Amino acid sequence: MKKDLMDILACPICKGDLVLNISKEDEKEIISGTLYCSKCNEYFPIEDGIPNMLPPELRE
Amino acid sequence: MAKIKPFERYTCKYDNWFEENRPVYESELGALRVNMPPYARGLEIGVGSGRFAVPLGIHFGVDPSPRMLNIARNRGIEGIYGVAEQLPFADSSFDLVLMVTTICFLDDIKSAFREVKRILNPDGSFIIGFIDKNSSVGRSYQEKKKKSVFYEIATFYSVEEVVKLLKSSGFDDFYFTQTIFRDLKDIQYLEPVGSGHGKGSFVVVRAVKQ
Repeated sequence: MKKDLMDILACPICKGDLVLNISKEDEKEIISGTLYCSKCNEYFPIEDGIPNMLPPELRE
Repeated sequence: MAKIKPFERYTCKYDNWFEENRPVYESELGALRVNMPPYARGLEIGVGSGRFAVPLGIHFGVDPSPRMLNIARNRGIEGIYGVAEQLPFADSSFDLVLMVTTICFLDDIKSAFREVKRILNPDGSFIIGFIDKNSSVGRSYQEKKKKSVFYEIATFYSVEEVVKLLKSSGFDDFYFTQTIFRDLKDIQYLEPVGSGHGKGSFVVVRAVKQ
């Protein structure tokens, strides 16, 4: 995902702001990391460049 | 639960349909294209492999199916795993939201429409392309429902039902386009695109956030 996606991404549960933590990135985009919602205390993983914003109960 | 199983298992079958039925696919794209206003930031919900978002110039796509979204990403879409009923976007994030043959797979269409309204800017457009339940293709899909790995999990809607749901979710100013005027097996060339609904099996509804 591109960094500017942070301008519009929100927690799918409370719609609040997310904190981005980058594990791996290249010159174009973020490859892996997490998005954290402090209000819901939930982590949303970023893997292979795609943020997984499924509500936790719908994740595999 | 998000209905992703057939899309994960039959990803190629899904994506190949568009090649095998190119005139149908191109006709549907035509009906969508003429019903889309200019916009700055667009999102397709249920983006799948990006078959509609890419030619229509939509940059962002949401889908719960990993295999589908990986194809969309390779086609240049900024993909996000998510479901329509609980969208992971801030209020007023988009000027245009698109759903194509997606409403039939939603778990909760009312929640999904409420979410679309929330993420649209004031006066933002919601474009829905779908097979009308009361059309000839709609009727044959319902008859063959048990035989299709995709449609056995689908719920079909009529234009009237979609409009009613849109109105109760805070949308207005409807404009319709339609195409697919014959049976799919008889379509060898591009079908005409007209305004209104009731004759074509594929209908595009444009509605504006109030």
